[in-house]
Amino acid sequence: MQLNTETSGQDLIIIVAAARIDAVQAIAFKERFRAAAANAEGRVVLDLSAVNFIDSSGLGALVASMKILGPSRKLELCALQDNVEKVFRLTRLDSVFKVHKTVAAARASLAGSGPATLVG
Amino acid sequence: MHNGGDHSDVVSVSFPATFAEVAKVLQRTMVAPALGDLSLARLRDLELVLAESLNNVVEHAYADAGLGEVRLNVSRDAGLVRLEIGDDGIVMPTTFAQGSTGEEPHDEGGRGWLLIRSLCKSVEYQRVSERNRLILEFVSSD
Repeated sequence: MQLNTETSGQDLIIIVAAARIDAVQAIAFKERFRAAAANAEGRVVLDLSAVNFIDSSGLGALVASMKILGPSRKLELCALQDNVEKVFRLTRLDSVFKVHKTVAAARASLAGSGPATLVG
Repeated sequence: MHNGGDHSDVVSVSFPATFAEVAKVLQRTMVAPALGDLSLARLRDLELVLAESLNNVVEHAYADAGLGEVRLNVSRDAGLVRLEIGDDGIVMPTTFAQGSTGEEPHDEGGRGWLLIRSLCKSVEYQRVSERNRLILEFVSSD
């Protein structure tokens, strides 16, 4: 489970460089996320474009990651593959996370960012 | 390849109750020739249903102990993929298999059953002779 990071002003983009966030990977994901996000002060956007499979353990790891950031920092998602998007919809997590359609849309919203943001 | 009304085994396997073993079984099952007619989208949904139900056995029936046997039988039957999952672990709380788990969106757990029920045509749980049996029917076409 590899996570790559890019900064955009105060905000952080974390790119998941793995095809699966599943029961095998969930704990490693949480730990890597905690390390990657440790110094971020603004929003954190998770780029899921490489992910083609997520199960309930993976979803639990994302919710845990959101909680790691605490109430003052937001976790947003971008570039969900169709079946991954469907899993978020079925579990109603699409109402918990702000989801940007593309990496570009997420970046654009970061670039123009204040505390309130537009959905891309 | 699947023929209309035939009832044919796709996969029949038993394996140790660990997440790593589940991952291997998923990988093997998804490339089974007898599932070759499913679309990629259907295969992804089927993989999710299988992952949730098998991981549930590892995590709950065997309480994450890494011990115990999981039995999986996948068969085809008239437009359906039929999954039968067996274990010798603790009894499943019936609320999980039957009704809403009542989970909040922010909770870290409880979503597995929601996904299984959303994606399957039918879900049946039996407890017979100290064994759990879960029978899931999944529609094979889009």
